[in-house]
Amino acid sequence: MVVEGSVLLAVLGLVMMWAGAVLLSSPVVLLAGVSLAYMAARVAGLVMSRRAMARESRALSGETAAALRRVEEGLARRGE
Amino acid sequence: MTSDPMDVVAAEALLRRFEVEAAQPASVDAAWLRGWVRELRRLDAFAAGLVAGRGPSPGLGEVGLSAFGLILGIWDFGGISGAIGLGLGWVGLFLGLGAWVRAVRDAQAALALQHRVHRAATLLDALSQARP
Repeated sequence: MVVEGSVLLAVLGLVMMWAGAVLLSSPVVLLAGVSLAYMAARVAGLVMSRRAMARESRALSGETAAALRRVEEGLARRGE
Repeated sequence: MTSDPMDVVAAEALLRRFEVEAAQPASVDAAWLRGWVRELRRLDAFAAGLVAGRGPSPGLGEVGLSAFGLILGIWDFGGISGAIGLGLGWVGLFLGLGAWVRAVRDAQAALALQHRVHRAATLLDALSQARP
């Protein structure tokens, strides 16, 4: 949801850049469009990066738990 | 072994201690293995919690500055104070973005800690299997 919203804002920023440069010849609107597009793209990137980290974290937790379980099973097999 | 409340410094110190102890094969016995299984589980849960946590997010200052700037900009659109307001609004938005960037950096540091815990667990497994 946040990613889709950010993409929409980035598109709006691009439209503002185009309007500022072509239709209105306004450097203020052009700059506002540039910063809006930059911020929206950055937010989308951050959200996707956090999702990727959460996936990696879950995978790591699973592998760590499996390794620790093997240690416990080894101890149980030896009766320790 | 400790049961102190966990923080990043304590977690790293615990991992260093594990690495030192694991380098001395004489210390590997059943009680040692069981103790570190418990500690590494705790460390993994701590690091995973940090990765999943929200971390810093835009605060009242950033949101307030953005809202104030936007209201001022709309109220006097085309005027000097409106232009200043819109400028302040953008500054607030950029500061808010900075808070999100910090949250991602914190999560990256926590993920690196989780990688170290995973390596420690793998080493513990190898030490357990290599016991005579």
